[in-house]
Amino acid sequence: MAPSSSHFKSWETWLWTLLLLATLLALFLIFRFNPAEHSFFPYCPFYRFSGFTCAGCGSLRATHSLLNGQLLEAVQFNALFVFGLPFFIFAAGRMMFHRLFGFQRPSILALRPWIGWAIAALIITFGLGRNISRMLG
Amino acid sequence: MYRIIGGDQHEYGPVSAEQIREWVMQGRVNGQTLVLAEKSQEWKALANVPELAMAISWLSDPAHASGVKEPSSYMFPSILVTFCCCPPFGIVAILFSAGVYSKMSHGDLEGAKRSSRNAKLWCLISLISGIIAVIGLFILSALGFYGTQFLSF
Repeated sequence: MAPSSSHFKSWETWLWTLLLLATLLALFLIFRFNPAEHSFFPYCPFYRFSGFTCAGCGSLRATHSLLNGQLLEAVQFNALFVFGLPFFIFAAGRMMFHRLFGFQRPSILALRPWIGWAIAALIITFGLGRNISRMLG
Repeated sequence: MYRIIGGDQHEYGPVSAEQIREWVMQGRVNGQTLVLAEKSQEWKALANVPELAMAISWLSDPAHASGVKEPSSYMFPSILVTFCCCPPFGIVAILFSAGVYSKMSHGDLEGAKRSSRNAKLWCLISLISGIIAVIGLFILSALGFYGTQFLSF
């Protein structure tokens, strides 16, 4: 599995550079301005129309808390997001690393397909659970 | 569960298909390795056991020389659209994504390709409906309906 040349096409390099810059800008805005106080952040249509909090609800506020070092506050906004983020970043980083340096390694899910179903089950359970507990309590 | 005869002529097992996939990736077993499936009576070469032969072609063949290319699972975009765009459609995309590798590991390449196409489709549906909804909300708020919550409990 010797690394060959990068497997990115030139337009892909531009796309990823643009995405990286946009992400950095977004992270700065989220760090600087509290989404709970500033209304220029897009409001979640799903919550606005249905009144249900989905599995991703609170991620923006949790990111703001994380960037400002408030771990406990972030967990309270969205626990699944905070605990899932390290795994997501690790897996995405691993994939990017392999593509960038031309390694062709199978995905973690290729060896253990049950992880895919576990991710789905976790997100569905968290999404249903937080609404049920909200309705009960 | 499967039994295999290793390069040292010793019998190993019973081991799971998952374990064999790992060994294929590490290059410890190959297409000639003899395998005995639990319900089967005869030892067969790994390449002749359909549900495991698939693993050889896409785990130990990084350059895809055999022509079998693993279909993309779209798991990352599926998770992203579930958290950022439209949760109900995003969940559908995640379920199709999980199906891609599940079907690959059972040797169902055609099924995996179908699931891959569906995962991509639902990612796009979720993304586009999310963008339309955000723009729609923006227009509604400009018209003075911002405080409306239609179905609150």
